[in-house]
Amino acid sequence: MSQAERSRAAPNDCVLEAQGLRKEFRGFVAVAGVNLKIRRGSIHALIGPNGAGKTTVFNLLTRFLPLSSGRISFESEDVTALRPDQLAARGLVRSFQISAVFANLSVADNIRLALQRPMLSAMRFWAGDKAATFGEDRISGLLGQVGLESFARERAGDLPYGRKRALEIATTLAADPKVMLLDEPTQGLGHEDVDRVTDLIRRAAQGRTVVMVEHNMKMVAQIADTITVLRRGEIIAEGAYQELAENPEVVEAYLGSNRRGDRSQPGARAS
Amino acid sequence: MRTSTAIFLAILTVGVAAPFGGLYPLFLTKCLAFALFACSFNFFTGNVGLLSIGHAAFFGLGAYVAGHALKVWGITPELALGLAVLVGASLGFVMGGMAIRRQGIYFAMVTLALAQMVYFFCLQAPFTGAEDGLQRIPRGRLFGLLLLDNDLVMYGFVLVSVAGAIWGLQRLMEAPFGQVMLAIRDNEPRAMSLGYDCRSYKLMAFVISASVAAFAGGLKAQTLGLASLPDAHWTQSGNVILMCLLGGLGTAVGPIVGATFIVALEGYLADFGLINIMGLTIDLSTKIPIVIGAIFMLCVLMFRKGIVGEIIDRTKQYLRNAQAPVAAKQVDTLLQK
Ligand SMILES: Nc1ncnc2c1ncn2[C@@H]1O[C@H](COP(=O)(O)OP(=O)(O)O)[C@@H](O)[C@H]1O
Ligand SMILES: [Mg+2]
Repeated sequence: MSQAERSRAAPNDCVLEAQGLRKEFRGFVAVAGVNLKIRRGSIHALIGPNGAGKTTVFNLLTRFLPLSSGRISFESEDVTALRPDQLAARGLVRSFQISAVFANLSVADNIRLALQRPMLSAMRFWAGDKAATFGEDRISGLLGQVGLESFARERAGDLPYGRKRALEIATTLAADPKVMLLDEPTQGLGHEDVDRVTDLIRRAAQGRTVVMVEHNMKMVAQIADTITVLRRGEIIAEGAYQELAENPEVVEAYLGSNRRGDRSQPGARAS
Repeated sequence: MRTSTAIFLAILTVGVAAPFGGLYPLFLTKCLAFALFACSFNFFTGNVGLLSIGHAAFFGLGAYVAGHALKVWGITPELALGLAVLVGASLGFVMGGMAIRRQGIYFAMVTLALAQMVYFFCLQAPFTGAEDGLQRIPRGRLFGLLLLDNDLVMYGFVLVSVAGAIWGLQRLMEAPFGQVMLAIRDNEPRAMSLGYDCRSYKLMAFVISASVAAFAGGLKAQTLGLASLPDAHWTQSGNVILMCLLGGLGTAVGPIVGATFIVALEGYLADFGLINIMGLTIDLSTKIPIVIGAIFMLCVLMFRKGIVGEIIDRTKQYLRNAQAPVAAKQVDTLLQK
């Protein structure tokens, strides 16, 4: 499905919706009334300078933080009162800005943990054997997708940074989410890794929805269908890349604090 | 062979051989009861990474419940011990339910505070015998058939029970449940984001741990015929922490080694505690806590991961230097989990 087709398909089919999200930390307003509609099957990018509240929005959407006020619905159901694990079990799975792997488990066991959860019977869970429980082929398939086949038996904590991030994405995919939220998936990666992750996300987005926080504007321009720009906890613009690149307010917000190279600025592209 | 099976067989083998080596069954029974207590503590704190300072409450209450059931109600030992386990599980559920939301030191404080309440309950309750405790608890007839009065017979029963319980704890850690516990310890938010209800899992581990601690307390009361306040006192919680740290917290056999070492040392000092330094005679049998404290300090300074933890580390180091990374990993999987 091309981006254009995807944008045309069912414009009102919204898988995740937030109304009036608000979060205060002891009086400091980190997120000030954010409304979001994430279309099913789209890649939706959340951008904005550091401290804009992007991670906080993710924490609110996935129920990792209590809301000050607002409402969240997932698959047309109000999920505001659910716990993070309940929401995850329904198919809303996130990754973390700071790399999050199970350091003392092997790479394969990291994947296995995500794969097994919905499938294990109570009997197997308490009395089964952890290694014999799951199809090694599905694990190696997922590891192959992120170029980690040969690391399956390594301790996850011993992997270099880029590979940890790859493992994290593979683990998120293993949970087979309907919506996956990725918090800065390419942060700290080298050029080749960025390309690989971009490719991976594009492929992962087939049949599911991706919401991502991302600073790399080149990547956002390549794969995002919709971009929401956040500044000081508020949405200042939303639309496709081309529309935003011509919006002076967006350019200003971005040039204000983004320390990356000029080429990656939306404004720089437009001028 | 699974680590759990290996440990089970090792305990039975050593346990059967030990009386032939001239060790008293009563002493060995006490070692086993405390080894199980240490394993129960390790099952929670070693695998979940939250420090409980409340385990004496389970151990003590288990001792009182089993003691009361044997002495006053005169029911058979397997029922008395089963009741101790049930009471331990219930108390674990209540205490865990209140503590498990807390992080780090706050968790430790809540468990300590609740355990102190249990201690005062044991001091005041009408059926615990206050300062005297429950004395001359009969050992009863196992399943109404086998009289346990003989020390060797009692020892056989405890050996099989303890080996079985330790097997069960280890086996759980080898099941997917154990993997989830380790994952939660490594990264709780990540486990939550994959759909695991971390709080419930930690609570389950705590309840299992509490039940086994109560079982150990029950066995101890039945063996020695005594359930008393020191069993439930907070220093008993300190004791079990010390046993695990000494042997190696988070390792499969460390707690067993640590508990045996401490019980043996206490026994030795009580019997042969008189030492003579430059004409000055010191009776160490009255200063056991000081000696154990000193040994503990030495241990923390010299091998931080405990006796077993340190052995695992050095073996791995050795194998790695010998260019045998595969073998090093095998040791890792074999001994650590
Ligand atoms: N747990 C917290 N307690 C207090 N302030 C916080 C907390 N989390 C985030 N903040 C503040 O909220 C603002 C938004 O943070 P964040 O969502 O991490 O921004 P972003 O991900 O866009 O860089 C920042 O000013 C940050 O300092
Ligand atoms: Mg952030």
